[in-house]
Amino acid sequence: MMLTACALMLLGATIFTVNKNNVQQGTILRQTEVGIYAVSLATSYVEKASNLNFDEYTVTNMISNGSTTNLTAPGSLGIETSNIGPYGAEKANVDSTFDDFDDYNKFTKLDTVKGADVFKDTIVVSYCDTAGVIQPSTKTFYKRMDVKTWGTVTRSAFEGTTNSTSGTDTVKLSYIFSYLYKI
Amino acid sequence: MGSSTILDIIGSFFVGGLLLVSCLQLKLGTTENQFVYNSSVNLQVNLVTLTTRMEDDFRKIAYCQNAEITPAANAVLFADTSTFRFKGDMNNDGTMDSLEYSFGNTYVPGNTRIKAIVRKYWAGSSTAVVDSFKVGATQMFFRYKTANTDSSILTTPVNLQQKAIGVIDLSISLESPSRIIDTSHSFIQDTSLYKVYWRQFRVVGKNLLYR
Repeated sequence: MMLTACALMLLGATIFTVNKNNVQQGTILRQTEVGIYAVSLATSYVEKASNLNFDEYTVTNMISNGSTTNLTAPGSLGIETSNIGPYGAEKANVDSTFDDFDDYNKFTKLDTVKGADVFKDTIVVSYCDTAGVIQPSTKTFYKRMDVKTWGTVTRSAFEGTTNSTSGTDTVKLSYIFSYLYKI
Repeated sequence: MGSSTILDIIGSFFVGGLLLVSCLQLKLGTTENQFVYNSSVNLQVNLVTLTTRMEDDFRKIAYCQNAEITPAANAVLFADTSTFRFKGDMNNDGTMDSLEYSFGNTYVPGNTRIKAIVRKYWAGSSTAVVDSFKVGATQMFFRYKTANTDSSILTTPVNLQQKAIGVIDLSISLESPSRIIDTSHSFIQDTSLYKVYWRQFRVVGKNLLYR
């Protein structure tokens, strides 16, 4: 009798473990899939930004003396609200109106990918040195963009698996954009 | 043999049968899950590999190791929603090569949605080297824009004389060609249409600007 009870308990535990592992496997796969979407979105922003001018000054002018004087001040990186660029008046968080790389500074947007997630994207642009170290108060010919993207939809299966509320990891991409000038 | 013994035997057969069915269901469930999960992993790996390869190629649009060489015409040779052909120094030898990505023919019997992604490569003026990526693609869609705005989408096939392409928006969907059709397991049914989708913007403006 005892033997039968033990055997049943063992079988039950085995079934439970196998099912739990299956569910965990599915959760991990779903998380990596959401990660792929997030990488895709973050890459898009890097690509879009890298096609813009280095600075507001270089939209219409060229730097030839190696001086950073005319570049945007580190504290003013972002959109120029008074500026009417080639794509109209620059608006915060509307990247289709941006005309230079640092307009992406403090950019925030929610991107919905149907059937996958609602992703939050935040971007910070700052000056950096050749090693990629951020220079908060110095103008340089290098600007660094840090893109963060994460899923915002809360899924009970994801909860507790990572630190963020939604249970998905934050994808962070960094990109350094440089300006080459003619001596 | 007493009636209680017969009852015991019948009872044990019944309980044993239930346990056997449970074990078989466990095995079935595990096998099905393994199949679905493996398909899903394959699909995700295929998508990442494919996009990495395409990114590597697209980065060289209009690029040439020999900066003196300028293509006689636009570096983009053909551009519509399913085919994109361009010039670039793909092997970094200082001469312009041509490359084409197109959404090809079906290759899965009974499934006309899944098609191969075909990469044709002409090194210099040699004959084309054709690679077929049979990775379960159900969509490869190109959209061309002059800028980052949706209002600047160009009609296809793009009039290349205008040299207007500034941004290429590429969408790719992959789907597992093998599916489990089992109506008794709702979980399996959900994942039978397993697919992954990648959307990215590929900017080509810079090289095209100089060429």
